[in-house]
Amino acid sequence: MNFTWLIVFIFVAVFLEVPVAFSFIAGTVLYLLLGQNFPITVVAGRLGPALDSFPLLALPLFIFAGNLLGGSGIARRIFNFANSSVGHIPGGLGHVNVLSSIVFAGMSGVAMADAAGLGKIEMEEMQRHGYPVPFSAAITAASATIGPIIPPSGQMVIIAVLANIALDKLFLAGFIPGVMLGGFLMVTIYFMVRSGKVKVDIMEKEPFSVRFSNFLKAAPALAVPFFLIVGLVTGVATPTELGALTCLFAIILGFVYKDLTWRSFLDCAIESAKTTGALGMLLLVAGPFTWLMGIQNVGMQLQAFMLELTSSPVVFLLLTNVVLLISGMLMETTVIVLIAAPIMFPIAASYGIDPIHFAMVMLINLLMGTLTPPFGSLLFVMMNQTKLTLAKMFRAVAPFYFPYLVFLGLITFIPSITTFLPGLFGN
Amino acid sequence: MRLLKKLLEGIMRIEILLGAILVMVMVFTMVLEVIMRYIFNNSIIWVQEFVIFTFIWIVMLGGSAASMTQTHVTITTFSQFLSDRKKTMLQLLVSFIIIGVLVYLVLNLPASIAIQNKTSTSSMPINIAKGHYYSTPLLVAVILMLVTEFYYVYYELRMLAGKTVPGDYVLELRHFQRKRDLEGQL
Repeated sequence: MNFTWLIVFIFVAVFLEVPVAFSFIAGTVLYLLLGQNFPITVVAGRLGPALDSFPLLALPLFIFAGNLLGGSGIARRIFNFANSSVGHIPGGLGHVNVLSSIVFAGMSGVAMADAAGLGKIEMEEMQRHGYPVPFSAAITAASATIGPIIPPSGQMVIIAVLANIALDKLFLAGFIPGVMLGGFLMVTIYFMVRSGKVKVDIMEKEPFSVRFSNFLKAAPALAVPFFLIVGLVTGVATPTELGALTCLFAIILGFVYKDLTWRSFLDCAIESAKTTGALGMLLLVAGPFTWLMGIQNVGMQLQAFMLELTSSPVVFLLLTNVVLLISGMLMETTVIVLIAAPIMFPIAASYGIDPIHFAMVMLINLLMGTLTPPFGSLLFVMMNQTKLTLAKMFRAVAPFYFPYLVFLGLITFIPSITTFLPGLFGN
Repeated sequence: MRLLKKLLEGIMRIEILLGAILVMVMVFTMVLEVIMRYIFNNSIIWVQEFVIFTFIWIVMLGGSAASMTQTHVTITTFSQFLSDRKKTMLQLLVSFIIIGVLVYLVLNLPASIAIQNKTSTSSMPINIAKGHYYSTPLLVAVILMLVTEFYYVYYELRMLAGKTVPGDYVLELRHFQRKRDLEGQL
């Protein structure tokens, strides 16, 4: 059995709705059974040790922190603060939606908490103020992609572990692109409203006292991203330890605000255990899969093939963009990361591309894929909530593709956007 | 089968509750480590091995619960285009593939555990053989997943044969379930 067939088998199994983790195990066992000189016991033996990674522990911790912050009234405070800050700009609640997502992304490691807590408030408020449903859904979907770019980010943890990159550096790399993407989305919203394409009421600027009061109410929550940046820059704690400290901060905040009860605290821990279980099962199978790639020398072969095809890093990055964008349209991002990270990072290294830069390119490509048909997962999340058809949802999101592509182009071809902060503080 | 359903749902409640407690233990241990390091200048050496051990158990308990509630990460687009009968046939095929994987693991994990047990953890107050550290939690989860899959196959076969199936046959996490309006992802 050829390694290509193994990849094909996994894709077919995943497409036939075999859970991803089981598709990988079935594929690797079958691969060993069909003509490899290794006992199939190897696969079973490599599953458990795949979880033996200290940086990986950041995943459940930031999931828990995100659930604690998302489940409490902090999301509402952030929304009110964002509303006071940018609600009066043409496009009002659209900007509020984006700014809230930026702030929330700086605290939460999982988009689920964002969607369940903040996303719900955003959609309700936009609908209450008469914003067209497709426009509201499109903004909520587009702004949700900021979450995994700004640290803490569950997807960054997975990429860092699979590609063997320093997690603190990758976290630092996400701040500028995340804020940049937010800016791109806000400019798009502004022009859509200004050009009359979307008709929404312009809200009055709130008095300074109200704005200041909303800032004070949100200040402890706003401190979380600041606390994370300081922690990463000074290196007082590892990203994993920062995850635990963020949990502690969220618990204290929840009880001080009286938003968190013992019951909701337990609910958050339960939710985190469930999410960690589902994601952890995916990481488990990365162990035998990457081992198999190593012994089959797949990385080296692909490296040689790519260098023969082109010696230009620019062409390689363009090809990467095309492949990942298409993959992101068809598959769940974690699945693509599981397959692509061990294959593509060594190739990128042979072109002299910084792994931090490449990780961000990969992440942003995959996130854009979640906004594009036929199977972009964020489109389906919003379609489920709003009952819009895929065609309507696509039409609503379409105006955001152009700024997203420009943003992707900038990230791809100006590496310093992503490598500046890690270079400045990463050591 | 109703008895098995009750039993599995009971096990799932325990699994999820244990998982939640382990998440809290993980946070507490790591915060304690940071406090000990910076305030008392005295790092706790066993923290890393211990929290990884709790993490492995959280994943296994959560993974087993995900099998029961059928919430493993799955790309569910293909079945939308199928009729109900073909959908059931597909479910059955998927269940058999899962059972195949689980049987392979049940048969092979004991040998892996025996090999891994030749070394043990090195920093914990009570050191654990590496097989029990890495793979025993997986074996426990795999056995529970296997029972769960047989439970679902029974109903899928009934559906395929056109026999009646109770509307609430899918295992649910009662009492602990938090209502969420939006299903999201990482």
